[in-house]
Amino acid sequence: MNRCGRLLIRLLLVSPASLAAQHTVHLAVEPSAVGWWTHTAIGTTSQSLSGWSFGGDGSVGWRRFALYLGYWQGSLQPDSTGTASRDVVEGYALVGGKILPWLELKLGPHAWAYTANAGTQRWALFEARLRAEGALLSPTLSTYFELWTALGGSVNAAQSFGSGVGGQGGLTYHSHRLPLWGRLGYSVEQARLTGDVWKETVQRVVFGVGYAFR
Amino acid sequence: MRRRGRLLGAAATVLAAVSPLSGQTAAQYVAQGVKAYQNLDYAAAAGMLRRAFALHGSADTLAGTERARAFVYLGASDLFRGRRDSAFAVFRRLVAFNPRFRPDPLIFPPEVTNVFDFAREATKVVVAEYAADTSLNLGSDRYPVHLFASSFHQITVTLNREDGYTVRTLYSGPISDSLDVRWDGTDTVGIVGDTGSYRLTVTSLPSVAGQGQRVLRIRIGFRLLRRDTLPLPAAPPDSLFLPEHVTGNAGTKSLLRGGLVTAGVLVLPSLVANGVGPSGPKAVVAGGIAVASIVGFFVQRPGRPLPDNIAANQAVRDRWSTEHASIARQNADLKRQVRLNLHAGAPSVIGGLP
Repeated sequence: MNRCGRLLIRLLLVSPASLAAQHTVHLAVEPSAVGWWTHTAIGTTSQSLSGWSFGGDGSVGWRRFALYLGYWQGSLQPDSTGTASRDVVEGYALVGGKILPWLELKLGPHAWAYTANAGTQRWALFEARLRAEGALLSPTLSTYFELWTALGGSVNAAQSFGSGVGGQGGLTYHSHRLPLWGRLGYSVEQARLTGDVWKETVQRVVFGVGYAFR
Repeated sequence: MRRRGRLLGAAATVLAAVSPLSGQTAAQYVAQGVKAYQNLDYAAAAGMLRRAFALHGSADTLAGTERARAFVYLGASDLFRGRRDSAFAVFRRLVAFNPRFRPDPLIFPPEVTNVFDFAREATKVVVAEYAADTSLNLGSDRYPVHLFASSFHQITVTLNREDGYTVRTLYSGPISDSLDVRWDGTDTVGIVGDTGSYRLTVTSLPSVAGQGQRVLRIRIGFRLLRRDTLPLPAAPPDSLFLPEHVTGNAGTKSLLRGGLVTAGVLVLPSLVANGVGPSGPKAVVAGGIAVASIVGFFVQRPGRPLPDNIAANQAVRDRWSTEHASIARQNADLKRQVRLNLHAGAPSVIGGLP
């Protein structure tokens, strides 16, 4: 049995005692502003765009499992002349489960699309993510680090989807008295089409403020 | 013939005085003696009264008032029979029996009362009146013993153990008519088993620093009744206290976590995207994480005091101290509320008439 299989079994073998202690459904929302920087390399040509998108994500947690939904939209401006600006829309729907108190496995689709006068370019990836969290100064400051890989994907381009990897890290400040937090994060991911003829690189900086419903 | 009659009358009187008349009680003898005294038949009166005293020791004895009455009529009869020494001795016995007794001046002439007063002055005795059974609060109540003296003289009142050891001198000084001596019972504290007995001893002294001539003793048995005290609260267990100083390696873990994530953020573009893209955003985020981890390290360094925990622990200690002090005060009150049950026996007298 490979490592991924063992992780899945461990995720499913949740002890009844720990489940009984986690009957409450947890709801949380986090509006956020995301700074984008994209770099598209097709063959020997490349173009870069940057801009902001706004939206947010939310989560519904029950016991060790959680559903994460996110949606942002904004517009990107070219860093060089000769390239048209684009609107960007991004979203994901991930299902997660805690393997360890500090380690979580997430699975689900993640997609973004650029819309320009010439048309719409869609990137849709099915990702597996591993996220670790730890306290820096309990209970107010914590940090997280997340890595993911695309298990599959599709792009409305001439070539088929090749591969995709990404990661993010960040810092979260939790309010001492209110169920509020602020988050600063950085992520980078790269998706490639078959033969590496097209490399789409996206870097994001996230500023979010979250609220947990109790 | 008349002379023979007188002789027969005198003989009958003497016989009546000395021969027992069966079936008569001491009280009847006294009544007959008083009647004879009132008829100025002092010899018959003395005979009847002495007969009444002769029954002393049997079941038929004279009660207090009747006995004093018999004494005073006997003394007066002896006095009028010309037996002044005998009358003096009878009056001394009367004084010793009841120092508070005084002859009624409407019944007895000054000759009698004068001799009685001389006898009273010459007799130094004390009697005591007290409650046979009583209960008092130790430390606040006192057990009173009322002393009545026949005449002015010196006395000492002491509390003695059964072996004679003087536990406490309650009074030493003169007494004229009466005196109240009070005992607070505190000498009983510390007695093993909280039960025991003392003897209250009243010694009459004919003169200051003189030898005691007459000693009155009263055995006082006591029993201490202590109130149960409340248990003091146990000191709060260690489990209630929060650590007052940072322990362990939380700071080091913070620094390690922060360092790893910082390094991860810095190398992510190289690993994922071959270093493509600006370095500004990642530097800001990585710098923030690094600063936070350094702050976390210093805030959580081992030995650093934790003010919130210290205050919380102090609150726990203060609550315990307050409760402890409150119960200690209650216990102190309960300990002070010791009751002393006393039982005083009949008095006994050692020594003759001083």
